[in-house]
Amino acid sequence: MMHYLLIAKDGKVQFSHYFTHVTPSARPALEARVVGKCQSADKEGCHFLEDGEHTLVFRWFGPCIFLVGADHQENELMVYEFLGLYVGALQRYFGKFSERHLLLSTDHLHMVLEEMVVDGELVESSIKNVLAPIQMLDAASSR
Amino acid sequence: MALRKVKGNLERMFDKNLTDLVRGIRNNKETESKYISQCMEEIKTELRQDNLAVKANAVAKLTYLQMLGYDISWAGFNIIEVMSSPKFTYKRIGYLSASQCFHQDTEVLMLTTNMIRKDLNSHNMYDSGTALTGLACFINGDLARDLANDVMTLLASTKPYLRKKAVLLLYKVFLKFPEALRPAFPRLKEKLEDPDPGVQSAAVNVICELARKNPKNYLSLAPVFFKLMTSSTNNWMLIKIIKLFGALTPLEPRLGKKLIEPLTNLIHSTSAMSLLYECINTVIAVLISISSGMPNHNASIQLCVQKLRILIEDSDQNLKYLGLLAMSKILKTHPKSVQAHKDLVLQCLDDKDESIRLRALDLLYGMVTKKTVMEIVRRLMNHMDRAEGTMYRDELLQKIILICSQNNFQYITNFEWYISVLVELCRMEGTQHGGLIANQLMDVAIRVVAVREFTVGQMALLLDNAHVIVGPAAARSSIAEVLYAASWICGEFAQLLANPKATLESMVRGKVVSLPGHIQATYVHNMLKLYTHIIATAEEEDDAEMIQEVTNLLLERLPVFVSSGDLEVQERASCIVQIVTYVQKCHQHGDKIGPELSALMAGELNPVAPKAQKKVPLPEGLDLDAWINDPPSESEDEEDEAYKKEIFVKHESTSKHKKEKYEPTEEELQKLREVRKAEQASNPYYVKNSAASVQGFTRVDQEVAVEPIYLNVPLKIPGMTSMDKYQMVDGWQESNKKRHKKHKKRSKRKGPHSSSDEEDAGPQAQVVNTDVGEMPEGAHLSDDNDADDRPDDDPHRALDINLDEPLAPNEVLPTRSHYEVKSRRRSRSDDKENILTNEVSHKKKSRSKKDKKEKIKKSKKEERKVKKSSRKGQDNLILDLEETVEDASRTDDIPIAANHINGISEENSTEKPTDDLDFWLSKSDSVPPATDEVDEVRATDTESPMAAATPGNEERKSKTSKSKKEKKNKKNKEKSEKKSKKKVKDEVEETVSRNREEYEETNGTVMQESESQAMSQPVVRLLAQDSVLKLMYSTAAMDGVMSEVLVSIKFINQSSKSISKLELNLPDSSSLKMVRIDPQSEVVSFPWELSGGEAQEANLSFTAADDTIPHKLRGFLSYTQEDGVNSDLPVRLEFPVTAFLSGKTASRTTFTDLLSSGQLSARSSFTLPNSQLSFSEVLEEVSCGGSMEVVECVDQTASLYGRSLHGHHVCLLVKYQESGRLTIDGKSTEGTLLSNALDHLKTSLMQK
Repeated sequence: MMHYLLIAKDGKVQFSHYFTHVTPSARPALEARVVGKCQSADKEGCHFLEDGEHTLVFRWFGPCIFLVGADHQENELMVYEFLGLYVGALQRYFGKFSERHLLLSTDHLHMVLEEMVVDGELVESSIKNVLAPIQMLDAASSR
Repeated sequence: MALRKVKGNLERMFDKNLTDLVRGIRNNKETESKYISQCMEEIKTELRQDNLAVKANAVAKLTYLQMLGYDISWAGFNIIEVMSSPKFTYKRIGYLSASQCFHQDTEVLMLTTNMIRKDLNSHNMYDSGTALTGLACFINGDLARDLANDVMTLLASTKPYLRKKAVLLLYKVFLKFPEALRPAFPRLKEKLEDPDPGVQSAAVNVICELARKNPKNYLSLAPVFFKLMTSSTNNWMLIKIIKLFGALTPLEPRLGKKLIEPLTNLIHSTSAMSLLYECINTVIAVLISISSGMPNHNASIQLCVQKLRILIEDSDQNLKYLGLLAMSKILKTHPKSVQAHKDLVLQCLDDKDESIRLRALDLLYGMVTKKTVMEIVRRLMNHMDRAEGTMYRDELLQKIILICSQNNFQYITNFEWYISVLVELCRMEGTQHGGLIANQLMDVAIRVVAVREFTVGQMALLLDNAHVIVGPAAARSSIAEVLYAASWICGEFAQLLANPKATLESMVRGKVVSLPGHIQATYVHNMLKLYTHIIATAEEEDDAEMIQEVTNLLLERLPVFVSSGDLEVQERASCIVQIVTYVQKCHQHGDKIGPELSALMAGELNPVAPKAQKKVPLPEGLDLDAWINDPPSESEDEEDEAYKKEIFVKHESTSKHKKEKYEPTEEELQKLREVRKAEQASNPYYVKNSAASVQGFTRVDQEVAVEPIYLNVPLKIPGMTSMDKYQMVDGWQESNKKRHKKHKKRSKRKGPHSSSDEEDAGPQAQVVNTDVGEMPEGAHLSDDNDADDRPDDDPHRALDINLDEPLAPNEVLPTRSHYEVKSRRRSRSDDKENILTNEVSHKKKSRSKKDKKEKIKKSKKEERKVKKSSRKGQDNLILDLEETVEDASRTDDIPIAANHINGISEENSTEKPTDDLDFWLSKSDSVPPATDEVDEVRATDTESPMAAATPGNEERKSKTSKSKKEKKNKKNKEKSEKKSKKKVKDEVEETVSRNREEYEETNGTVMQESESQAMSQPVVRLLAQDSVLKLMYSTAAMDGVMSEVLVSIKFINQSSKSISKLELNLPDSSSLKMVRIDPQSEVVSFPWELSGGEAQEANLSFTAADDTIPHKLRGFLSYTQEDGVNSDLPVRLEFPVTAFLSGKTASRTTFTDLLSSGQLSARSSFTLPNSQLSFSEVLEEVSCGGSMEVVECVDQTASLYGRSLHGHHVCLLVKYQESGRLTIDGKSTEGTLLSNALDHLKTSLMQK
């Protein structure tokens, strides 16, 4: 199961979502360590890193790094694919996902993620199904 | 009030929203913290307002700030306020905030129970969805206990959106409230066959997580998962299922055998790398669990290794990494097949990615053989030379040592080479593994007697060049530890030294004082040993000059150590100074003291077994907790502690080193040794170490194995040319020459001890002393206690629950029904259950009346509810929209696995999955199923609920307190049957009618009831008949995984002769297909023989492409009678649309949800003006013949529900008037299906 998802740019965490609780006071240290680790890894190199009890799976999208801390038992490639799926969902939702969205629409990022992952497990692998409720609510609130 | 609202809205306009906050933070980069603290103040004022919109906005901002690392725990209560908002957009903000900042110990959570329950039960599915998602993050034990039942209710929701989220939440519920696992498990299991792939996959996820921790409890689910695996095309889910199998196979090797084939097929066919990787992983797990007895065992290994090679060769570094990772798993059991790919692994060592290099190193560890070890180590040393970063170099060093030392130096054939490697490693700058090298040096020196002399020589050189090793860079490394080993080895085996005096001189040289205390202490002590040796030999040779020299040397140098700051060094040094002066005095008197001195150090070191200390039996009567003296007063305690601190503060650095940490004074030592010797001599259990120990001191000219060593790493005697370190010689020849040269040099210096026997270099084995070591009496190394090594507080410990045991009546989820109206309605079924168990038989009549009243009340409530929900039109509008969107896009975007395996699904699908794992597993072994096995299937098919219930009952009877209840329960059941018998005028023999009214209310809420539902037996129809054979058949729709119709055909032999060779020839039609063992053949043969009058039953499965129209299949049955007469019997299998219906998932809530959701667009009805049947007969016919389930029945009206194989819903309302006028109204999602179903019902009702 996945424990957290972070999005960082230039080594700074822009977005974090925790599936299992980490005390807020411990988060900055964790985030700094983990992001630093991934940041310093070779961009062309392997995208899986060991980090204590978790395996870090990260993926670069432009200048942003998407990072998931998962159990060792989790299939790394699956998590890697999931990151692609998540970004795909965000692309489809925003039209074109850019840093501006990352900065200003964190709530939507949370929403999309919550539709896809419950309790650290992927629930919905169909982008269409993920976005359907969100788009509907958007339509309802704009009315 | 209105004014206030307007005012609130006005104020709101000036508030910052989240976007403003983000922009603000970016615009105030320099003064960020100031800006944020200002925002915090604003937020605090916003939170004090009554307007929920303002509050929600504030909480949204807080959530963002929390993400930036600011503490918002003070706002817990405000978050709850926002969570409880009736407006969904606010509620979502609240839940999101809660999910990110609440945790299970958050105190305000106590307040949320009822609010969350309300949200879970909300009509708006998004309310419940949000609550489910949020709850997963912060659920605690109390919430789990209180809400478990509500979550369970959501499992039965009509909306897959909620079902899947509820299923996933269950995992957390189980973790926090393990008692819920058993009562909830049957429902969770059901979800594996949910029509919605999302729900299925959620259930798989949960069970996969559960099973990973306690696999043995989930073995019985293997058949279900197997079926899912062979039928699913959802790669995300397949990965999880296959992972689950990986956890199960170690427990059940037969399962592994069954898995191998489909998995290898998947490996061949899939294009998804993640799936491929998972398959390989599981195949590896399988192969590990079945080490032998597989015919194509090697083929599978080869396949895996091959595929992994492709992964490793891929340019994608991720695949490379995973390939290496998986390879290392194979390595453990099948090293040979991996060793073939050594080239590839070595290649990876050169990869620029460090994590890949590390993985490759892991692999190397296992790939070493006697032949390859030298080459591999040479490559690694080469690497180390070039490697950047001390971290990686350290890792390399450690790996080299691990590779060489594994399994008691299994792969080392030439220990001189190994010693050279270790010496070489000493030269590595800044390593943290000095201790490791030192350990290895000592280990080899002590245990490999043959190479001891060589080692001692090398160590002497090391000591001589200590200043090079302990260079300026040594401060941050632990390389000095090597000197610890070197000095000890030289001291202990002083008799092997070429030039003891020179070594002694190098030991006392100045630099030593800068070494860590514990190393100095060893130095000092070993000086004494060396001294002793020199004196003893010099006395023998009457070399007074030598004696004089060394004595003076020590007396001159030792005072430095006497004044050492280290307690240990000081103590030993002063002791030795005394001994040396004493020796000097003796010599001045002309006495020879050599032998006495040697006695100080006599005795051979014996290895002690690693667990020896633990195994020392506790002496009888020893109580370590008992006070020896009266407990001291507290003040004394403090003093004591202060005192202790003072003493031990200097000791700390030595605590790591076990050897020679504490050394008694020499006199003491001698005494102790003598005592020990005496003890050993008289101890019958003490195994005298005859040969080895004698060697220790008496051996003078031991033959040293000196053979031409093919060193890939040149032997460099350290110190001679200190700066040109690691001068690697690539050529074979060159290294050889060099080696010879050096060897000669060395042997010259060896002095009298070594006979330079380079020429007769016989391949003498260098034996490692691999004794277990000394153990206390009666203890064995093997008796180990392998208990559950999980920590006590691991929640998964509590989840180790046997799930196959039938549920006890008290095992129900806790419900809170006494104070909340809403929840009472929901949990009524449970209450009902309690009533059932508590009721005593003589209350029978009154009860049934009461029941009726209740039912009426309830139905009214139900109606009201329907009205209410229709009033909430807006909600439902959204719902409808959503539902259709979901249905339409169900299969969209799911990655499709390439072709599925031919023949696999057929192989297993002819029989219904039984719970009997053994049977399932053995099935593949026995190709033609024996007669009794088929019987077994039949038994499990139809009687499983009963069978499952009885053993449980009997078990519980032994507990007297519960047994009474149980009996009552039983009586009740019997009663209900009787009651139903009264109602039905003409009892149909084959169909046992259960009293539905007993069960309908509990539908879907309590497990026992759903089990009893399955007892309803379908109508048995005549299939074909002649004078000899009669065939009856019944159909049952198995909606769920395979969407199959199960047809059980009963063969009744009406003659007195036995019949054999029964073969059913039943060609498929275009849309109805039989699931066959052999897909090519249209003939199904039955292996058994029917003796006269015997009856047998067989099950066939069919899949229908279109389940909205009735189907027919024609064929014939051929058989041979005892007297050899062959006959054919024409067969006509009819499948009315109702055969595709199943009411298994019916429940009142889903039913009303369905009706109110408006999905049921198709309507149809018919009326029979004067039916000849009674109401109950009609109901019987509709429910059994039509395979629908009665959802509700009031007086002469009943509503029924059924779902088709392809997931169409059918709802019927049956109205019966006393005059015999019967009206059946139907609603469905599928028009053709409905009209066909009603047509069928009409004709069958008319015929009766």
